[in-house]
Amino acid sequence: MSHAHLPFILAAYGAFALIMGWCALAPLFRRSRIRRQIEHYHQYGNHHDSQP
Amino acid sequence: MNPVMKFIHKTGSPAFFYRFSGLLVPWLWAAFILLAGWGLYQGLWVVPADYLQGDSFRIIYIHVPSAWMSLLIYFVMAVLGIIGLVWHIRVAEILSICSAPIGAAFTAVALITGSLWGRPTWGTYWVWDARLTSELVLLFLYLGVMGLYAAIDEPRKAHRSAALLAAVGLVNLPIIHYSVDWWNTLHQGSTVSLLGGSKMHPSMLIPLLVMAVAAKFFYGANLLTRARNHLLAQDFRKRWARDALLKGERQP
Repeated sequence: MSHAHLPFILAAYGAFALIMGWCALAPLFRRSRIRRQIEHYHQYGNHHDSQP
Repeated sequence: MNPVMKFIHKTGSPAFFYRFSGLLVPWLWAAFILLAGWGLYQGLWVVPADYLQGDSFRIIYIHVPSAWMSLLIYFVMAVLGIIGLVWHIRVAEILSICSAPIGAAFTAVALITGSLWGRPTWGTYWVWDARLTSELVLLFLYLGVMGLYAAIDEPRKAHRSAALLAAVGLVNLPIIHYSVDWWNTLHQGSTVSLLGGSKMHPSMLIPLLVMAVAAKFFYGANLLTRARNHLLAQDFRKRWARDALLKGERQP
């Protein structure tokens, strides 16, 4: 691989990994927040409006 | 009711969609990892350097699939939005809005990697030519759809507004695709065409096509993961959401 183009290739693949990595991982972080919200609601929340 | 309509009605149920998509997601991720791993290995190490552009052409293996996905995802997002508007299918609405951040990510990757590829080949990171500018407009459309949806509290009203904006933005897709034919652009014309063959050697083309398929698996897996979260977040008061999350997600 020629050294002149290496920084551009590394930067492009680095940006790709960063953006797509964030895109893939963000739902996992959100999922843990939702899980806490659901656990909290069903433990302490109002159960009268629980729907099937 | 015919079997197709029965399937559509069944998948339209949030609880069924949640369970069904939960079965698909691991397979989609596995297919993405296998295909992307092979494609990147071929593109970065096995494929020879281009006779004119040298090694910088290797950026094609992420740039072109991302640019294709940016158009495809916008189309899917707008069509699902219209389906949600017309038939009020909630799962279609959710799939539509969950497509927006993924499409924005692919568009950003296409713009950034294109800019980094432009510097060694064109001598500049950016020019305001038709292809680059219309792709930038596409990124703003994705951000607009996301922003509009987030700005309205009532989910159905938020979806209707975002779907309308997405539908109007469809006009940008042919502009992006044909910009290199309609105007004199610094950006090169199409190298790969479904109908007119390809100007690339098969040794370079096959990893590119594999990466394009891998990107579709990424979209599928990521979209379903986001849609499942979105359903749970909207229905967290309902019993099915509690059962799905707390009593094992894949049991019927």
